[in-house]
Amino acid sequence: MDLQNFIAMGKYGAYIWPCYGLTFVVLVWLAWSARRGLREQILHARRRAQAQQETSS
Amino acid sequence: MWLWFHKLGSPPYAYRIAGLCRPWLFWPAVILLLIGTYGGLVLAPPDYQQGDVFRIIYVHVPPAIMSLYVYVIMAVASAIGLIWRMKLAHAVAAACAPIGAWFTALTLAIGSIWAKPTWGTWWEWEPRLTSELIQLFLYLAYMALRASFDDMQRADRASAILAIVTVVNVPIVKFSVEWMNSLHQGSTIANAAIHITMGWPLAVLIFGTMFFFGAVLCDRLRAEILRRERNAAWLREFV
Repeated sequence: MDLQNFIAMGKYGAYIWPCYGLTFVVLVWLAWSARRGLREQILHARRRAQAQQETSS
Repeated sequence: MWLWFHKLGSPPYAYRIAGLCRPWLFWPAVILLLIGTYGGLVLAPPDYQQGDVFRIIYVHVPPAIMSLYVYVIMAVASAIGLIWRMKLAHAVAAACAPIGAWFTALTLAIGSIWAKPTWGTWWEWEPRLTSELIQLFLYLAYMALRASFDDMQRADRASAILAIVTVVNVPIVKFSVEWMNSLHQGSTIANAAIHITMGWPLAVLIFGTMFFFGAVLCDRLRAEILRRERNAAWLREFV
């Protein structure tokens, strides 16, 4: 099987590749946005903990 | 069992467990998704009726399953949250919603791209497509309802009732292809209508997507716990 045939996918390459591309983009976005959200919350929590320590000491 | 249930219900414990589980879900997911994609695009033979365009099924069925599965998890978690007043269960439901919404939107978009060469139209107002679109609106309604409350407890209760009542749409989506005269083809898996050479990549991708969902949920749940427990003393040890 050569590369050109593989990319053409019969005559359906124009439909198949956008589907796989879209899936890839959405999965990366889901993983990345969840990580980013968690990191933000950890930073928030750290800052609050520091502020509390400073006021108590 | 009950002791374990109680323990898992405590935010610090759940926060730690979710953090420990995450890599054990994420990396297997990546491996399964890569293997499944290679199998679907390269190893599986073309369909005798649809030709190569059937390969879209590999990225359509897994998110479609998740679009229903995630909503069931939300409804069950919401019920646990209401009945046992378990705050963590509400946090799980809230963390699930955006993931489910993305899976549903992806299902609709990919189905639409597949429908164009196969049915000759991007969209048809038929039972399966319409009920899946309603499913997307339910996720969005759930998130909008949560966002409309300042008080977390009221948001939990109202959105939990919404999830429990509207989970009735899940069987409607699932069985729309059997109960109603639908343009959409019947279930590939339930009817065992797929040969093993085409079926194994699909099975691998379904499991991969479930693992992936678990990994994303771990991160989202931890963020949700931190948001809810911002004034708790235990946080200082963890961050």
